[in-house]
Amino acid sequence: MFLRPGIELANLSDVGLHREQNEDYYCYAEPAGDEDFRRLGRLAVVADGMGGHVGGQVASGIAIETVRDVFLAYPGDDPGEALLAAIQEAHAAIQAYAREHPELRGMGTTCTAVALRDRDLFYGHVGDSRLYLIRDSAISQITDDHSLVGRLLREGAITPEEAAVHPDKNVLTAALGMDSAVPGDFSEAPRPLYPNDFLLMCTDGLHGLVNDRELLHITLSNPPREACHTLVRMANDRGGFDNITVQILKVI
Amino acid sequence: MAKFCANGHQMEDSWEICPYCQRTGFQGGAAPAASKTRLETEPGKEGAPAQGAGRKTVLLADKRKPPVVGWFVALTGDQKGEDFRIRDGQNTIGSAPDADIVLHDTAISGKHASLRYKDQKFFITDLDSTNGTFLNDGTESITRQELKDNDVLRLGDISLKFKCL
Repeated sequence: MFLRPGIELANLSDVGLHREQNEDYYCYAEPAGDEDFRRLGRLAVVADGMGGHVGGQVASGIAIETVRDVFLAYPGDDPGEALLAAIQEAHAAIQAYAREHPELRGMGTTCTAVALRDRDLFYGHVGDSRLYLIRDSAISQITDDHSLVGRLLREGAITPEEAAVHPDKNVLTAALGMDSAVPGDFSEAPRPLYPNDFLLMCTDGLHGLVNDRELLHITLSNPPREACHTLVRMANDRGGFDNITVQILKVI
Repeated sequence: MAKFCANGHQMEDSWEICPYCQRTGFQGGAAPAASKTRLETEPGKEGAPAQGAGRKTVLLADKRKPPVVGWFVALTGDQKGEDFRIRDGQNTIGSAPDADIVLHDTAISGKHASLRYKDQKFFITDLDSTNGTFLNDGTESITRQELKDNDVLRLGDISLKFKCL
């Protein structure tokens, strides 16, 4: 695997304490050629699959592999467009696979993908996995949760405190592989990052049990690799109800 | 120096094989790990974990809903042309995001009206809304009224044509 200078990378995925299978999947990739790397930058993706049988992990696996393959082979020079094409293709690939394997019908996955070209951030996002930016001792959630609770929160119907304990926290309003159109959010313009910024990507197994302030504190006070281990341990200490996946990219 | 597998997963120095790649079986074009197929345990059944643990991510559309028994179609307003499903039982209509039928109009109350389907009849009830609920050419707000196929309901600036199944 290529890991060119410019970032420090760490990631970790854990099945948690209650599931037998890990339906989360994730990857980090860079184009092999230096020219392609200058054109597209680097890619990091997390996905949290859902669906009975093995559908969840099949869907998240297809999403990650397709997003990576399409992104790395993208002919244009706009990483944002590459992410859009990659996520659309992943959506179609999951649907096609489900058509061939009726026992997997209804499977879907979240997918949160970032491209980092030099220090410009691009992202594409579907579902309730999250991308955070940590800068200057502050954490901001860049992606909106495509969940019923997220929608109620954005529309002011419930408070953040109510959202944290809402019984329908697990209900998504959008997922890859479901419905006919890709219901995702994509960055409209690249967002400039600066040295010592952190990107933190995670599935709801982490952000459901570890709050934003804790994510910030742990990320800032540990090297990325230790931060990943500490965050996963915290989620497991608090019940580990779901699979837990986290990726941290530190800009250097 | 950190060690990563081909898919960018961080590895312990002692690992030869990445457990996350091995799990999915997608590497090298192999079929997905179908060998571990098992039925998921339903809450309350044997082996189901306690309390919050059984919570699975589901799509909004997967939540079991009562059957559709009719529709509204918006004839006016910003949502002109949109259709809204009416389901068996109680359907709240209003501007609140958790209403069953969400209408975006400042003249519509959060919980403006309620449509009830029971015994193959539809009854519309105004929920003491600020600006009232009007039926067809009526000039006075209704309180409770039976709806018939092709009736037009007016709330704020929105007219809704009613179609029953």
